[in-house]
Amino acid sequence: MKPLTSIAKQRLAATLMPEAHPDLGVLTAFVEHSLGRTKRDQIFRHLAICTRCNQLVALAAPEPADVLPVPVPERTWRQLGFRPWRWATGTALAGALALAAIWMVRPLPVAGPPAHVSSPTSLVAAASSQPAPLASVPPSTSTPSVQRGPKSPRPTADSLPETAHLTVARPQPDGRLRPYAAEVTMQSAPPPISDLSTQTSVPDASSTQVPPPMSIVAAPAAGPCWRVSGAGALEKSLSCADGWVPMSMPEPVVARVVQSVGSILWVGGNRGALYHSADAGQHWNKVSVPSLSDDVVAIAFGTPTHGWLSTSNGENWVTTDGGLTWKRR
Amino acid sequence: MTPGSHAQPETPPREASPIARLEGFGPLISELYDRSGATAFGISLAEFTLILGNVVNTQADSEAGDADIRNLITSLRIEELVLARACAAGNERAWDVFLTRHREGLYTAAMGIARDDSIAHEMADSLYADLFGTEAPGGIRISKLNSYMGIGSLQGWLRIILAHTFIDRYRTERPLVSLTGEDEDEDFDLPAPPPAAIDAVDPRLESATDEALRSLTDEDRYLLASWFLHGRTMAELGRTLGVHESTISRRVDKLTGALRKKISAGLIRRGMTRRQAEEALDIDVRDVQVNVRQRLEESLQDRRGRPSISQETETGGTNPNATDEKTG
Repeated sequence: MKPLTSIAKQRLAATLMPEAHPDLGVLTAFVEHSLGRTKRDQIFRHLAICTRCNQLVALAAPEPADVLPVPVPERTWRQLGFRPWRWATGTALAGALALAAIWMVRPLPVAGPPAHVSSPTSLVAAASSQPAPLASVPPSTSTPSVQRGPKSPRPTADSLPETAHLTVARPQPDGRLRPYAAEVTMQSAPPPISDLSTQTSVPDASSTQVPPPMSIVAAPAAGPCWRVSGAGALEKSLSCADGWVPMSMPEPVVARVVQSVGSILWVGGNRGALYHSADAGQHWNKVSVPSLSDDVVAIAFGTPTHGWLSTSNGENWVTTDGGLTWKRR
Repeated sequence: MTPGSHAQPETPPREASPIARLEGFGPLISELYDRSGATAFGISLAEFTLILGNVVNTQADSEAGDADIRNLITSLRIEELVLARACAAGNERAWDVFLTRHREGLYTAAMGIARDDSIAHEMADSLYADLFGTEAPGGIRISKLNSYMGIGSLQGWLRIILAHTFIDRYRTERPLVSLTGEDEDEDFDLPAPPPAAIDAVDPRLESATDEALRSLTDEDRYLLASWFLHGRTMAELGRTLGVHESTISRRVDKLTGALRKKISAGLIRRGMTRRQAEEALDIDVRDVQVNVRQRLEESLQDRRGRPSISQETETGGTNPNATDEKTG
């Protein structure tokens, strides 16, 4: 083996030689991307030379929930000589998009207001065991596109159900989607709203001052449950049934929506309030997003890094770096 | 390094009192106790303090100050730590909660690691037995859950334990994997160097390569070493770093390209003309990658001062670097 230069040996001694194998808990935190930068770099240095730990973290890393790119069967079509079908497919796609656009701008025959669902993009079914008003809301009710819908007859408070149950899929710590039950509870009569989208899309006095009238009880397969109470307070329960404990935030805020991905929590509130916790609510960071001043009414993270939020005026903001930066879409 | 040496110490270092280092943290401990849900499992404040004391004694350096200790105990997954300790103590309610939360995830994780249903069930069942523990003489229950220190999630820790078990099993059952000398140093060995590795004849090329490697970040060096030396696949690296494997592919390509430029610039600074530098690099980027691999390997192995063993560690996908010379 060729000898190393003295400079190289010094470099190795300083940067590449680990003192000992990292603690399994530290490796766990590394895999979960919850280590500080200094500690993370230290682990990187160890993993660069330790085959065993390198393999250990590769095996223990959870499967990502990323949406895989859709393969385009271009080669097969070309081989089969069906190139014209590509034009036909494009035309069909354009038609489908047009139909979707028409469907989205049609009046919504919905009798109930949208719920503050904490993970709207993860909705796979709005299966309901209870009354129709909420169940009749399309699964994408909380998505921005539907929130832009035209006016529809406003329901009365009496016509709203007290509870409804949704079956929702949400990302788990291991990266897979699993269903959980979401119980939507009416805590008080809804404030006067002019149309369906008002509560989540159009800012008005009530949307900025009055806390959300509904709360979500999210019962994930693992971990504590989180909800936003009718008073706009963040609450947590270990049993997911009772024992809801108000969680303190770093400053007074009227919360509107909570979203959790594993131990990572995102809370949105009135007037652009956005908070992030990487340790299940033990510590909070206020996320300042320039130009974000409207109520945050929906937050969704498909992965710890990719997510979006929606504001009461219909704006969508996207992050691809775990919330460090947000871009308006 | 024995296979079990990765495990955390079961017992804390001996000190005058396990909670001696927690003096002055009374209010914080009370707050954490209220938040932990320990009362649901019948854990008293004194027992909770003892748990924290053990964590501090095993996780905090002896020189750690109050601020470090405060940061440590406030960053713990306190609820899961309490749950693990309650399970280790045999609390039935805690086990109900544990099984509700982690049973499915444990089998899923085992399946994801082993890629074989029977092995996955065997691993998970075996881990359950270890987690449940055994009754030692004197009525003390010995459970693997006592090793969980609240750093990282309990689910993630279980995955690490499963991966650890799988590696042990894998290395035990693969006759071609060298198990000679299971000392601590073996775990730092790297795969054997490629038989047709190209030697850098010019010392300036070596030093320029070293300089370029030094300029990399720790994460970039990890990426290169994992891909070129450890035989990790793009998918594995993507999972580890939380990005798509195509992102890893682009990063490795970009890294090797940037290294080539840096090495070339270093050669020019060392007196070569641009043409000579390109000739030294042989222009073809594949040779640069060979050099990267070779220099990485040398720099990592020579520090240990001994030959390496061959290990085939693939479990999902293939990395041509694991067995063959990298050619592009």
